[in-house]
Amino acid sequence: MTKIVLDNVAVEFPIYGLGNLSWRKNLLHLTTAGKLAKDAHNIPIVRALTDINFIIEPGQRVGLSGHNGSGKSTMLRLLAGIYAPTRGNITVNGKIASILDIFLGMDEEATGYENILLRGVLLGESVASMRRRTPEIKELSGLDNYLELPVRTYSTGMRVRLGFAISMTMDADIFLLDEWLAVGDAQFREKAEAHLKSVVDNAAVVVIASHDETLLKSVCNRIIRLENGFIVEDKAN
Amino acid sequence: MNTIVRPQSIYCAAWADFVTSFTRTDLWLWLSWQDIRLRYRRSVLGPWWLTLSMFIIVGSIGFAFANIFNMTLENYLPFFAVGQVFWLFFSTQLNEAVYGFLNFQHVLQHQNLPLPAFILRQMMRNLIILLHHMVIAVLAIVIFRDIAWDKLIFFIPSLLIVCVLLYVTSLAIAMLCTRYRDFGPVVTNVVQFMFLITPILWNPALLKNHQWIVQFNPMYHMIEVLRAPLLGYDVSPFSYAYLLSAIVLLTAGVFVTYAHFRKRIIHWF
Repeated sequence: MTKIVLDNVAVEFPIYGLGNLSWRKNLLHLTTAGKLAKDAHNIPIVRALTDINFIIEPGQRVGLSGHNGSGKSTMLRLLAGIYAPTRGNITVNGKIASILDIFLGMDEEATGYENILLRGVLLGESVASMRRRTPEIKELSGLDNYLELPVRTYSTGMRVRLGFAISMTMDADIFLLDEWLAVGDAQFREKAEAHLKSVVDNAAVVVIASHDETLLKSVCNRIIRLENGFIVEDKAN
Repeated sequence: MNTIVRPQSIYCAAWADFVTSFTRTDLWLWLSWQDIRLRYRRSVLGPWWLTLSMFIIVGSIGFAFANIFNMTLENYLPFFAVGQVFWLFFSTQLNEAVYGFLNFQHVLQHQNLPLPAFILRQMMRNLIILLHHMVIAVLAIVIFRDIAWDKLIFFIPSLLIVCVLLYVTSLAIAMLCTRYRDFGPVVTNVVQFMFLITPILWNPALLKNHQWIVQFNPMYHMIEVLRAPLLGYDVSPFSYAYLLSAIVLLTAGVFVTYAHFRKRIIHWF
């Protein structure tokens, strides 16, 4: 059964190449909300997430809110398996689609059609399965014959539509989405939000990170607020 | 995009990474082919430009050094052509291994993909280029020598052994150079130096009683196991023994290191 369990999880990472810490320590305090410390080898470390405990059950649409650097993206990377917890245990059951960057894997020289395959492979699908999804993606993106042109000729909006359309055809139990809905024009955003809702309704679990409170309130049924890498609020919406 | 259940032993997790890397061929076989296609999309000759420049180097240097060493073209040119073609493969792969993970930083930070697949992709790319260059080696042999078919069959196990060794070495270099940025220039310099002390331009027989210079050199054995079957003489069993022991030792070291650091490599960027 689809489920995410985080038990006393902490994520800390070392920052190499800083050299002398003394004055840079102050600087970093300004830029990252995470706490700074030193490890055994005197290498500065950032405590990106501390004391994280939660269980996400099927049917939950979780919104991660918080300021820049509060730990939202780190949380998504942790759930995606990109980061491993430094302390505690994490259990994720279910097929994950992590859509943290909608342009990931896209190549300027390749055509729209080729980019569907390129991006799909990096999202964990096979070339063959992406070929099968191509008509659906063509339809959703609305790019039609533009798909035969290299992506370098696309406008930003067209790229967003292609990246979004590819991402939305992934089938998975758990969708991890980072705040990229802010990109694109108003018309696209409307269409994207509508489609996102249908995807959200079909997936067992969705975790969205965003600092757009209105978006989270309209899509999610649970909101977890992060501050300095701690959970400060976890409530049903 | 798969089910993760933690915790599990670090060695099981590392092993699983390698298995996924090798079985998901789209991640390296298909992507490396796309890399080459897209890189040369707007060029007519494409990768054949590299082959053309190699052809000119082999032809001109081959002719010049045959005279310098007082050897016949029939003797010298195939020897140099084969050595140079494989040397370019080795040196490009080792130099690129420095950026084996660094080049994919953005991808690795946004998607949970097995790291070993990225080195496979890089190496596959270089193997495709090698196939283009092989035309020169084959031409040189066909024109100046006869192919000895009974010796040629050894080329296949030789290529396999050399690729495995290059792969584990590349993994080691990629890990080391991602963590310690100073090792990148070290690798480049060592590779450059090795070209001079490896018999590619010159015949190892010229060393007379200083054979140890080549016998200790791993690059000599890597070149030799590939050159011998193509030029029609026997591969020395010592070369195979040397390379196989190197593979065993390096693989063990790389696997243990990888298992311990696989989830920290992402923080080395």
